[in-house]
Amino acid sequence: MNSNLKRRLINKIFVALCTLSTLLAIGMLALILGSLIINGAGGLHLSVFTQDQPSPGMSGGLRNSIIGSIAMCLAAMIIAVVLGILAGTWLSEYSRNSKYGRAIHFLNDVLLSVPSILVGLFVYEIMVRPFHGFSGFAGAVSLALLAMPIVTRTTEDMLQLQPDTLREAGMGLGASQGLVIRSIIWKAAAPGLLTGGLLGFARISGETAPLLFTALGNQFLTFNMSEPMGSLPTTIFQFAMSAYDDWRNLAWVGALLIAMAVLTINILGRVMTRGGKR
Amino acid sequence: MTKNENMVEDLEQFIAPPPTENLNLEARNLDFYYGTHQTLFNVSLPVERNKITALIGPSGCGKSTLLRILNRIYALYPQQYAVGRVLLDGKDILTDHNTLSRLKDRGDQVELDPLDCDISQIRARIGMVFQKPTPFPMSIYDNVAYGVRLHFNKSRQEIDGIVERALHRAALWDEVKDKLKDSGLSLSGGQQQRLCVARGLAVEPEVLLLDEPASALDPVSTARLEETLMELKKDLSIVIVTHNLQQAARISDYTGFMYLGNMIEFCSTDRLFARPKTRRARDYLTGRFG
Repeated sequence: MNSNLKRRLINKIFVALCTLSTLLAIGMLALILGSLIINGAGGLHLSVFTQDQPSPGMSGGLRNSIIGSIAMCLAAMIIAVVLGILAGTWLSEYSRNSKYGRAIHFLNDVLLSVPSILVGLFVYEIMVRPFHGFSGFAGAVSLALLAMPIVTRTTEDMLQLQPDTLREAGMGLGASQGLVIRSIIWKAAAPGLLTGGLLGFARISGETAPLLFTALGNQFLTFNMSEPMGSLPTTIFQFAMSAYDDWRNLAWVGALLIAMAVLTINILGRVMTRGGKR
Repeated sequence: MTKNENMVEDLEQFIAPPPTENLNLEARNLDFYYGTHQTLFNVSLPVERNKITALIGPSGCGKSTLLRILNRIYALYPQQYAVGRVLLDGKDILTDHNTLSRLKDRGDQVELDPLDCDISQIRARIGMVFQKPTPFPMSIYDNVAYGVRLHFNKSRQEIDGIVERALHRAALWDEVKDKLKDSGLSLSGGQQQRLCVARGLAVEPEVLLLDEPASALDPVSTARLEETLMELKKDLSIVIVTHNLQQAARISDYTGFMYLGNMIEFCSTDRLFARPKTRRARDYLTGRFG
């Protein structure tokens, strides 16, 4: 009787603590999103997308930064998805239980948690200094290095979820291992591979530090990735620290745009994986 | 031979194989190893043409392992290897230059120069259906056409015909003819299993291996599958591993009883179920163990 009471009390406390922690986490998220919307939504005009970065006191928008961000993220994702899926496939299909496989798996996990500023410095050393200039390409490479380990890891996990009987069935028909992977295993794991790509994209879309060392930023519109390139995070970094109200307002708008993009991508990823389960 | 935990003391065997000239596939004196662990001991299995051969025995006795040697699917796993002979229409399909030395190590007289045979062709001639249905993540049509496109250079119309015929033979056509473009995963478990049979049949194999194909199916689906197999044996030879003794008795012509990696008794199904010769087969069939 007494012990029963005690058990129920402990249970109540535990549930209360769990609920409290959840509320705290959700509350933080709500606060962040809330302040972004309050401060950013007001400045969200069409001109944000049609005009370039202004001088202080002038009217302007974020077009050059948005285009720079899209260009660099897109290039980074192409690199990261191609290399990441191939690497993840090698880890899952060709090097299971091998010494090299385990070593690469571990190194990839290390890469997964490398501070992004180190990646920025690394790319600065190998791409910016030798070519004497900051460039959108260098920015894309640094972002790719951040997204690739995520894509690799997700690919490996998702391919390993596919049952061995599926591989055996494919090879039992006389298909080679490579063909089975390309025509059956990748297809079966497609929703998971997509999620990996989206996770990688969500990770890099807000990265600032590596871009400061590689793409630098550019207050003018450019489509040439061999020049310094603007991006939303670097512009936010520059504007938010400034003394000008209109710059700070644009920084809020930029932050809101990134948050919305990441949110949309995450929701998309969820919907797509659910569609694939069935 | 060193003493092994799986060695059966006082090995009592009874083997009454069908006449040699009717054999489509034959396993001879197979040993099998998972790494250093031996799981099959000198097992032989004759498979007569246009008959159903069943393999029964308690879990872990090596039935599935034996089946997986016959089309060399075990070779996907580098630590597994088989020593012995598997003859498809008299030609050795197991021995290649890697396993030849193992045969010699074992002291076998190797009389023929082994060829490195094309494993892809072997697997086209010996189809396999697994315990769990394994439809590919593509349409019903593409599932059946997968092997055809792999092995033959056929026109679109020819493939259409082959797919339809294979689905007919697997007794699935009437259920799927209006939704060939639907995903293979949208079918029920029994239909998926018959889809896998159709997929194997489409490449016109001589032998079909089935590893407990009905264990995940309900009784109605099982009955349909059994009917299908009875129909199919007119064209090809079938080896089926089953835990279901009634199933073996119902559909098979020959039955092999395995125990701890040994083939204990092999003879016609009627004879094995009516008058088992060995004590172990008798005990197993009467439910005294297993």
